[in-house]
Amino acid sequence: MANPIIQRELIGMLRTKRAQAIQVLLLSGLTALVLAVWPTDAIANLDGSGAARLLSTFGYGLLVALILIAPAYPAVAIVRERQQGTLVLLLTSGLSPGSILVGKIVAAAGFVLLLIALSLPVAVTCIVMGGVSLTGQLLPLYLVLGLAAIQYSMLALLVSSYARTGDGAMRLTYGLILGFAVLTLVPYFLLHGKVGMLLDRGDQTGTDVIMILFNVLQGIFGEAGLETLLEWIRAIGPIPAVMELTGHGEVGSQGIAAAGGAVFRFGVIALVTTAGMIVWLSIRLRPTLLDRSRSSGVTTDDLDKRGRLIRRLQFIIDPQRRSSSIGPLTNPVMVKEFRCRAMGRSHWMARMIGFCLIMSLVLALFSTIATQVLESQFLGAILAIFQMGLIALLAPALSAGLVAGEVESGGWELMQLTPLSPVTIVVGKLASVFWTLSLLLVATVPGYVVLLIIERGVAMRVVNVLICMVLLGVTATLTSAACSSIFRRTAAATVAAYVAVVSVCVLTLLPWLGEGTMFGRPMVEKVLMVNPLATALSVLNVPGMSQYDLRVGNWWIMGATSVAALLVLTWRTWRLTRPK
Amino acid sequence: MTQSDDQVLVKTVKLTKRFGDFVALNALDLELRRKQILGFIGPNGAGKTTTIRILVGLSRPTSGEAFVADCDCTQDSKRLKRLIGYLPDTFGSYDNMRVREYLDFFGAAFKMPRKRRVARIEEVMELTDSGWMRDRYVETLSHGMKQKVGIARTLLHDPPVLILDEPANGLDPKARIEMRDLLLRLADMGKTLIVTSHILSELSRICDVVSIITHGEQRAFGTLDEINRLVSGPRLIELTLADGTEIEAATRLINEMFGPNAEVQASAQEAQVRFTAEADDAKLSGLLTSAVKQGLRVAQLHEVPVDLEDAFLQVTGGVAADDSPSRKAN
Repeated sequence: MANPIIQRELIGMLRTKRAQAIQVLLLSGLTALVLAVWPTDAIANLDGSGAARLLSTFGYGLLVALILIAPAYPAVAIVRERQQGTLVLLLTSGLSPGSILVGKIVAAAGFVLLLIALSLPVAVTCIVMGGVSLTGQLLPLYLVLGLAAIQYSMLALLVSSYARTGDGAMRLTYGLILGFAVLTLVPYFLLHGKVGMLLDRGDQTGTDVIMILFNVLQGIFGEAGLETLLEWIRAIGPIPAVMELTGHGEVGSQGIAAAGGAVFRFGVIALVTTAGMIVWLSIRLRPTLLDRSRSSGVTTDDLDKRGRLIRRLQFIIDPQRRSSSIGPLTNPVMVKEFRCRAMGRSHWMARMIGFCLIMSLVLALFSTIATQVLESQFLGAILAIFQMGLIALLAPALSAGLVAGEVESGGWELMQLTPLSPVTIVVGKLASVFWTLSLLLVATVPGYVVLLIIERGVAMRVVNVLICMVLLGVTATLTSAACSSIFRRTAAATVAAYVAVVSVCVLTLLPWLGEGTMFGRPMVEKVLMVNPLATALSVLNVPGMSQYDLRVGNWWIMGATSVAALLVLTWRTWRLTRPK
Repeated sequence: MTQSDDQVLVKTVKLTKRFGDFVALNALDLELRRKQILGFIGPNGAGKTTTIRILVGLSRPTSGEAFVADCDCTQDSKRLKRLIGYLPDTFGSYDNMRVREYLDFFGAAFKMPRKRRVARIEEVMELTDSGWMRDRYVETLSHGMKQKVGIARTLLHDPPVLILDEPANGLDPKARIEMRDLLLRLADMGKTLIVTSHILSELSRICDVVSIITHGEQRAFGTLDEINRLVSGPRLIELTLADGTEIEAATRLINEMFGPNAEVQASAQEAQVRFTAEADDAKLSGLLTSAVKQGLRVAQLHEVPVDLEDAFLQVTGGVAADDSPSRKAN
């Protein structure tokens, strides 16, 4: 007998218009890619570079699509059941825990695997064009993508089993996936091939914290072991494996030969982590999953004098203190947004700002040390990528639920019954996001200060990079908020917001990979103009981007997109506040 | 009743709402005075929520008019918001928010000055007996607690009219009694209430006026007595004897006086005879005299009142919830 969960979830999902639209869009995009590269002048490319370019663009495109689509469904699969009360029915039904687990896993990973399978005809064209190995490149590429799909689906399911809301699950899953995919590249990018050099320098000085840390790590792993560790950390995400298979394994190696083996390492990590997550999930999916106590709402103000004193010493900002009333000049919607957000309370904000400050100082410290071996533009690039990543991760997470979450929870209707105007609502909601983003970004500024001290001539460049950041923050926030006002469900709005932001920051880099064979320079420059990261890197004169003039064009595009998104948001909010 | 109690606070005139071909509400006329409690009754999908949403300004009528304290519900939404406190059937919860913060937000949204807001929050929490949960997170509250907090929220800006959609739904018996007492207290305080409920026995205890609505049409409107008179038709009379052995003689007498249509139901064990009759009080007096003359020991003779549930079933013709046919506009 077929597993009813698979029947209900996977088959049910495949019948939806949204699933059909995703399949059609993916196939259309891939077909367009083949048409763009297919030779039309009867001149065959004998060295196979055309096929290799197609494979790389296709591989990265599929990887980005996978990162965006894979968590979308499983991230809400369990939490939504819990919210709707159907999880208890499932756990107390005749289905065994194993069947429930298998059903959820197959339903979660099935759709993404189907999408990957749909791309096979395009992959075959790479073989037909010649120059691409079936067993050496194509099959391993599909293996990597398949493993990544299953790994991300499991991660999303696991997060879903802990989350309290669908949009919260979505945010955390995307955050973790983007973090694991991108942040794990940073240590390798920073230190590959320089461990020995840094250790030598550490032997001479032996004073600062990083050097001490290096010496400790050297004691444990040895110099070669440290390099291996960096390579394993780098292989946590699928990007290095795909880079290796598409022939870009040396990118980011700064001229130092890469050791290879990224595919093997990713395979091992993906298999082990997936198996671990399945075991973890099987423990979570028990009736005790619902066994949670309700908060009794204890506040510090209710404690005796001694208890209050202890907590005053324990916390700078006490999480359990009774909050004050909303001030007369404060936008109540903004305060409500901060209070409702899982990490919006002042004690959480203080923790997050502290974390960013520490991260920024660590980066600054690394930068200072790394100036021995790196050019200043590389340091700027690292800071820019860190900040861009932070914005791309946080802006949709903070903004995608602004309106949709309110509509979904029934709070919007209550707000409509108050004298709050649409403008007050929009301003309050956006202000809550802008304040959070600004505080976090300001906390990362010390890194730039170090850069300015090292090389004073780059002041104007740094200002331009900061303008790019601010514009990205504004555009990403407004676009995500506009998505939030269009979609009725927060989960759908979150996916749309991440797709929009990641498309702008990552997908627009794909033509850059195909410059010279698939796309001409003017075309690549036009596409890169949309990308604020590429703009920041070109402003910093980072090799590979320094030849493009993107700054003015990008600012216009970002500005125009922000205005358009603000108009959509205002119009939709006005519509939502009108009587139906 | 004072002069101000006669003031009409809620009024609808030929209120109609269509969604395409579907008629959700057809020419509804309502009138509600100060301090009155209106029980708005109807099966699911009858048009109750549609009416309420028009009254609170969340929906526009296709035709007709609706007024709350002389404020046109379709024209002056700004004023309307201060006149009405609305408790929808869904709570509208916010995550990570304590009850006091939740009320503080809505108070601030109504632009209440901080000092007055703080005092008012204490007042409404005391009134709704929700003060003890002020530091609880709203999403962790039970259904009954949420209803209390919801009513506290509707009272914050001290509106003259309260519209409560299914306030007693899902509450346990004790909570239902508390809710009933609270609604009566609010009416005593001068509030005008519109309450929808499926628990008709609850409504019959607190309502001054009842409106029964099905398929978007108002079937009955008036006080409970008026509704009873409207729906009663033949009266149900109950005769109780001191001894069950006299039942046969009593049945014979009733059949002689009221004919075979009297639908007599006799129970020797309970020593009771029930029958229906179009009789006036003089004829019933005659029955009592004849019974005493025949030596029957009559303990009681009285009319069984039609309760709201019976009235509702009679008016709606026993229409079950959600089985209404689709309504097409003419």
